[in-house]
Amino acid sequence: MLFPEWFLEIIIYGSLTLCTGSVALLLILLWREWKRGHLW
Amino acid sequence: MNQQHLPAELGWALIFLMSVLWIYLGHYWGQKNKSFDDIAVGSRKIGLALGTATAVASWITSNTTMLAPQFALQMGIWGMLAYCAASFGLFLFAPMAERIRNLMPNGYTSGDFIRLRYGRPTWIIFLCLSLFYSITWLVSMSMAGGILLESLSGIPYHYGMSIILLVCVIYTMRGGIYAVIGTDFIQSTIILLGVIILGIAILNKIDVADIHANLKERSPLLLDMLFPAPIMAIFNNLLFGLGEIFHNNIWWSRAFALRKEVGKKAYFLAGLIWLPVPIAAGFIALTTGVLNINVPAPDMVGPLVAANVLGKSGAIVIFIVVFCSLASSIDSLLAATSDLLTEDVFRKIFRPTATDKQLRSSAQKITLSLGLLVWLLCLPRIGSLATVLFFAGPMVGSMIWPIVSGLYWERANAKGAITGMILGTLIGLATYFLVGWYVASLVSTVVSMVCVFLFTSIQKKRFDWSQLEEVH
Repeated sequence: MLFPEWFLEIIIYGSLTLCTGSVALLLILLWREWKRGHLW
Repeated sequence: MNQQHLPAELGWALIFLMSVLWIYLGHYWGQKNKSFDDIAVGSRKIGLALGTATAVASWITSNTTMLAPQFALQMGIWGMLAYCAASFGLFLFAPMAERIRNLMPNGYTSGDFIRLRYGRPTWIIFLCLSLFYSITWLVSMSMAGGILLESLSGIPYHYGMSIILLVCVIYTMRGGIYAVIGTDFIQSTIILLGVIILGIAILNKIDVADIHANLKERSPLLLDMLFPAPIMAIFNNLLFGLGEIFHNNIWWSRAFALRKEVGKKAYFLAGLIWLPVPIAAGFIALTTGVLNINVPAPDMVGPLVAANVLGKSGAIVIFIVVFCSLASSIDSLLAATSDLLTEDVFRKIFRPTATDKQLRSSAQKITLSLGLLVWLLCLPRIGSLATVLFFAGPMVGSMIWPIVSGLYWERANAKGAITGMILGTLIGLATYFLVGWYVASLVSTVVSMVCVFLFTSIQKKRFDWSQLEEVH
């Protein structure tokens, strides 16, 4: 039994979307903590 | 010259720019270091953003960015998913990080925990296993750095390996954990952006439907839902990831350095961020059929596809991503191993009354000596040295249960931990040679688990958790 095409679409587009969201999340967290002086 | 090569001059220019940036930042952030506490655990006040990014960057090694495409090329969809299983270590360490921080408000290293929880004999065995693992991992990553930079841009192995090690030693020595964590944030962002840029560029050129149709016609095994080799690799990757993260001081030093309320969140978020990277970095290898690319060396499939789709700019992106992946893991391991040697060997064995100034000076000298030792081991380019790391699977697998039970069970004891670590390692290594690498970690973990369960069940005495609150 082979993985269907839709599964391949989900994991490829899903992983790239998650990576993009991760960069945004890291930058937002950095900005918020920097403003509050909680960076380190 | 192969098509994936960057011109050597461009490679040198990129290395120079990145090296100057990391060393400058290491020097700048190093000015915050006023005590050994600052160097080793960043005054225990690191926030969520930097804490999450440093865990992600340390766990994205050059293997993640270069081996993930090879996994996809040789083991298909299950190969990529198997690689993702290594993120479970980060998820499962999240609650442990919180407990470590609560139980050991003044701790520095994983060695501190083993010594206070199980006593000196267990601690000595743990230190031997942990230091052997850390040094072989450092050697393996530094050698990979030299080999990769040579393959990508033609820079000779000895130059590439020496430069990446030298740069990491300089900024880690100067800046301590502040420099490591600060540069890790920038490096993790660059790596993620590089992976996204390559992925989008490839999907702009070809469609997922074409990839699927091509694989179905030419390599249906890569789409097989019941492909046995990668399904077995899932367990090996999962247990190797757990063993590495649960025992290595990289992750413990972060648990001590993060603010009390952010440790759990930071490790959970790091797992979530790391999880998709092997797929995002790996799927590009599945396009070789559609793009009609001949792959002479499977370990260079990532750069080959990138250069084919994006030309020189693709080769530049891969080069920068690989350099950042290497630096972000080598610096973390250098700093964490140096802390382990300073705290557990220098202070606890040789100089119990060492002053703060002596500890700071010792940490810097140990980082330099460690860098020099790794450089000397990498210099002859002995191929078998890099494969020594594979033996580490059973070693780290045998440490999972002694650490987890020690953190949560009052009746876990030294007899269980010692027999678990020794028998798990020995039987795991025997399995490695007699059966194969893919079951070695599993066997060692199960043997160690049985030992820990057995000795815990017959133990009457309960451990007093307050003994972990050591004051220096």
